[in-house]
Amino acid sequence: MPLFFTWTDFAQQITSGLAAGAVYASLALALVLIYQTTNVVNFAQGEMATLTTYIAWTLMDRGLPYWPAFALTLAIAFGGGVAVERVLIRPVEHRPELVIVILTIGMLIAINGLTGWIWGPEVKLFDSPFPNSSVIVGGVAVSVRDIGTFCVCLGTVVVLWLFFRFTTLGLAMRAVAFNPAASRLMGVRVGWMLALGWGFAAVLGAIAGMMAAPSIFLDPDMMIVVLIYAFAAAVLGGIDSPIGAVVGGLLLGVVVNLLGAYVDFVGQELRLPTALAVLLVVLIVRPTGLFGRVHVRRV
Amino acid sequence: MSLHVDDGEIVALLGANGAGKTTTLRAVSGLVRHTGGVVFAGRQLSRARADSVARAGVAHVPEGRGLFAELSVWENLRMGAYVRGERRTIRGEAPRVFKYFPWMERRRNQQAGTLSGGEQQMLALARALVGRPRLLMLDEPSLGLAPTVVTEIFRIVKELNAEEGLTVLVVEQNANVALDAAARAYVLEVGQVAIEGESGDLRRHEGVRKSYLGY
Repeated sequence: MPLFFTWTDFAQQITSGLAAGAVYASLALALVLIYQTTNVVNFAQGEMATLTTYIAWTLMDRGLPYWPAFALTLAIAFGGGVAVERVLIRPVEHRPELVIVILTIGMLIAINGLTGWIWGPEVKLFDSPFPNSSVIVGGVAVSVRDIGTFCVCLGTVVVLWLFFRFTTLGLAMRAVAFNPAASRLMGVRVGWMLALGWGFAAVLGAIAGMMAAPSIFLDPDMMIVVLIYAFAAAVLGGIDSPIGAVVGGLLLGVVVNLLGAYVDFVGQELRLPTALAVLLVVLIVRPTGLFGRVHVRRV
Repeated sequence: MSLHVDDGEIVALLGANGAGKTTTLRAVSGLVRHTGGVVFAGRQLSRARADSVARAGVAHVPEGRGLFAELSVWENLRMGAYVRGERRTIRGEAPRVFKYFPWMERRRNQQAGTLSGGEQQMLALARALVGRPRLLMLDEPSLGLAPTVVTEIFRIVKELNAEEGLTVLVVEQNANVALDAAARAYVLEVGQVAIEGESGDLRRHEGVRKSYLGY
């Protein structure tokens, strides 16, 4: 807790809040991608991220340098996400949403057990590609790791946005999210678009996991709290809005960090409940979230 | 039930509510399971899924139009080109379609859901045309639209048929406009072809006149 308020300290709290928020934003966007097509929240998203982070750890443990291991992990995450949709979700695709929700909760428990069984429960150190030093930006010392984390997460979001905005496949995936029946009539293989969505979500999760792990350390339960923040961010932004998820994540990261630093009774321990209380208030005022669509239909 | 549509023909499917007109179209495009066979351009399509029927060259403008309301006019048209390779196709086909619907070019960035009912029907038609279908199936294009808009839509369909040899199978409750555009028609009653023939003959048919034309 800073004794006196200084602008330097304030700016540092903002940047570290943005770094944490970028991680929440990535995972929140993963949740939204799946929610848009499957209409359920994937409760296993955090555990899938933890699993891929362990895979990255193993690759580096075997001597692979950071960035090749990072890239290989993303490829594995993508393939894994596609496979999960094809093998596990597809058979229950047309069942009630509750069935799919329970399936994802089952995956959460199974993957959590699997990572503990393979890698053991002890906490592991996970390298960061960015040094733990600071640079002076505009008279303020800012952590290089925070800047790096922010840029990697937001860079991924931008690449994904360009993909959805400017490619044929991205357009087809958006069309499927809005109207799967009409997409089928346009000749789109809808099932494969859903699988691609799960693949991209898994990639976002892997990035969130690998960026979070250096500061919160790698263990089987690493992403549980991050997933709660990501849920909160997704709902805050409006659960079906990708922009909302990103803005919600960043906002949550900054607000939580500032509350923890400047509000005495919140401190480190009450950050999560406080964040959820803020979320509750926002949802009472705006039930569809900050960017959520109000469903209006011309009849 | 047996019916056929020849190359370059406009055929109407008439009948009361629940006669099975929409279901017939949905069976052809693979949206409902069915028995019997659907042969298209010499190819058996009866086991095919909707997306592969579309890729085979059948465009289906369904009841309710099936537009992507959240996407723009232009993005909807791009989706119509998806079936033939979006990027390559849209460049060549967009000018051709804009010739028939000039307003679309000016309003290409408008969200499709904010268009009026008639404009939405025209967009659904234009989107189907972008894919250069060998068979265009229209389900109740006149539903809920003002008479002048209905006339306009059927005028464009006839023009496309005359200029490009577009083959059309159109389901209609409005027998008058449908018989006006079509060369031949089938009248369905509870899932069976009750009457079939040339449009002119059907117009003079006593039963058709009383039940469907209203005079």
